[in-house]
Amino acid sequence: MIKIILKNIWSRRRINGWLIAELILITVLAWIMLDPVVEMTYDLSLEKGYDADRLCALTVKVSNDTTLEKANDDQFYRIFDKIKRLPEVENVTLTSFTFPESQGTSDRVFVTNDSARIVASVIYYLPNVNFFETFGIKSAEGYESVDNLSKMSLSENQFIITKSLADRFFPGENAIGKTLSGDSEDEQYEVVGVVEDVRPFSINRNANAVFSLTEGLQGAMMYNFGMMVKVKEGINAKDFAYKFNQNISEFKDGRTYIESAVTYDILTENRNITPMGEYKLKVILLCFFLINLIIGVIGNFWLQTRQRASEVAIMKSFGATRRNIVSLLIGEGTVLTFIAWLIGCIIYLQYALSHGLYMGFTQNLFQSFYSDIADCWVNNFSVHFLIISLIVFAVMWVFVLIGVTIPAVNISKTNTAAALHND
Amino acid sequence: MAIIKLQNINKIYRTDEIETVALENVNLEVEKGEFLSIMGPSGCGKSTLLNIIGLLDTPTDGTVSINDLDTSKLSDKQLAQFRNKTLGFVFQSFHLINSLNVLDNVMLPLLYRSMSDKERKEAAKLMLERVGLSHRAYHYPAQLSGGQCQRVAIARAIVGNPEIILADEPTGNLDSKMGSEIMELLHELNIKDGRTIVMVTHNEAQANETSRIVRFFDGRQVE
Repeated sequence: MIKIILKNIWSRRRINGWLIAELILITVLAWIMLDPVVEMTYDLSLEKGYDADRLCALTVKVSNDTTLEKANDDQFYRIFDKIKRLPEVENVTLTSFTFPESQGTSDRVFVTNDSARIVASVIYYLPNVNFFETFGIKSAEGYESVDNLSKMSLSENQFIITKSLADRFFPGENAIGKTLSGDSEDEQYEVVGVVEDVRPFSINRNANAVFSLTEGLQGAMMYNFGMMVKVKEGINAKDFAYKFNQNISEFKDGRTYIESAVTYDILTENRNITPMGEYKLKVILLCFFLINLIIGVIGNFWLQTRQRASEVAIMKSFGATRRNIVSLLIGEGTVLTFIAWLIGCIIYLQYALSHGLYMGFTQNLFQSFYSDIADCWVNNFSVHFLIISLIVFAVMWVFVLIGVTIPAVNISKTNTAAALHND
Repeated sequence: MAIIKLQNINKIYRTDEIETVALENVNLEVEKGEFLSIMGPSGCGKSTLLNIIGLLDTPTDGTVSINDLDTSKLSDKQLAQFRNKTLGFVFQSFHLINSLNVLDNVMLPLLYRSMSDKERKEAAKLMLERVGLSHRAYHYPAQLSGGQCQRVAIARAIVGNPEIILADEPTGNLDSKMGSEIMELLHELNIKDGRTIVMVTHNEAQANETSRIVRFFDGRQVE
């Protein structure tokens, strides 16, 4: 069968040459279109490590905030307690300028025993305000519960770290009490807790984060504090935010007041950290490309296959079954696709070797993070190239199959005598 | 013993507006080893009959039995196997696959049998030798004369060793010399190999050389 397939392809080399040229072009274009969308989708599909769906962010403001006083702390906490008592609220916490997906970033570099520099985001939190419970961050297996972690009193040289970091620095060991070395010799940090992975940015597949206790609501730091509400299960965060905004005037105490409530995804979108617009645009362009691909490839193969009705009739008159015919035509389509795909991938490989492959949403912005996770398929050139190439092949093959199979089945059912007569 | 038996065969082509009777109540028996000619004017249903005998078309009514097997009860797959093993076709316009060379064209019926590529090639080469075209095995149909194409078609028809050869005006597209050569070949297959041949022809002289002639007019057997 394979010999006949190859002979058929060779004997129609002029027509097949055009088909292959078209498929090569499609392979290269498919690479350009699919690569970013696959990686962005992959990044977005990764577990965030917290319950973003049930969170609402509240912006806290103080009028005439040039003269902040201790009284503001009390006002702040009174509003906090009031929100905590709302029937829809499961938990509420205070957030500083750094929390997952926040605009503020604070990085710290740690050095491993083999001198690798690991960059981690620092997330500051306040004690005794259910920070971990509200975000839904879970403690890593075999480590202290988050309930206890929230109540711990940490010094500035003590950190709670994510499991990724713990595994990187202390593989197979209990990380509690172990020391993380900073960039300079005098920087030594003690690990006091380990939580499951939390990704500081959902656009970044990195889950290197350390949690550090911040001081109270004092001085200028207050500008940066807000509240995060976790609604009860079954309550829609969007509905809660809407209702909260309707009654927002109730949440004012002295000069301190809540300015607005937004769901977590709106907060993320507003802060423009996750470039969803870029992602959506790429998905739309990909869909447009695929629609053109469907029309072009399916149409071309459809016509080519239909033109072979008399040849099929000859084969049938000498004993070919419908299955023989459909298999032969599908086989030819598959070989053509494979040849074009291979050539197209080799062409794209030349580009990729000189310019690199697409690395994700923030390949430039957070370049330093990527070196930390070399085992991810996106960072491994060979695996990355192979995965996207296979996806490209699968997409093309499906369309070629549709373009071949339907007319092949149709012509295999045609009356043999009529098809021979029409030849 | 009748190898082909047609009983009460009717073939009617229907469209929304008209109904065309191609064959009307045809009863025909062809004996094993017989060389039967079917004659008649154009459009009288000769080729339709041959297509029905060759299981390429189905009758509107009636039964076609080959080797005492009622073919109307066969599935598509069984029909394909039956055509492959029992029947060999020779068409007026050869119907060779232009994209395949002569050897591959002859091998075509063997592709649907479980045998090795080497065996197929050997069998096809043997048949080409028999029709005097072994030196043209790797040529393409477009590089051959009409007579040579028909020889290739005959080699393809007999490569699978079928009992019955169905030839639809096999010399219709050939000059008289080439036509004679093809007829000689068909007679040889009939006499030497004992194959049953059913041939549609317009040529009275060629028909007279066969063992029996049946004549058709307006879809009916008249003689």
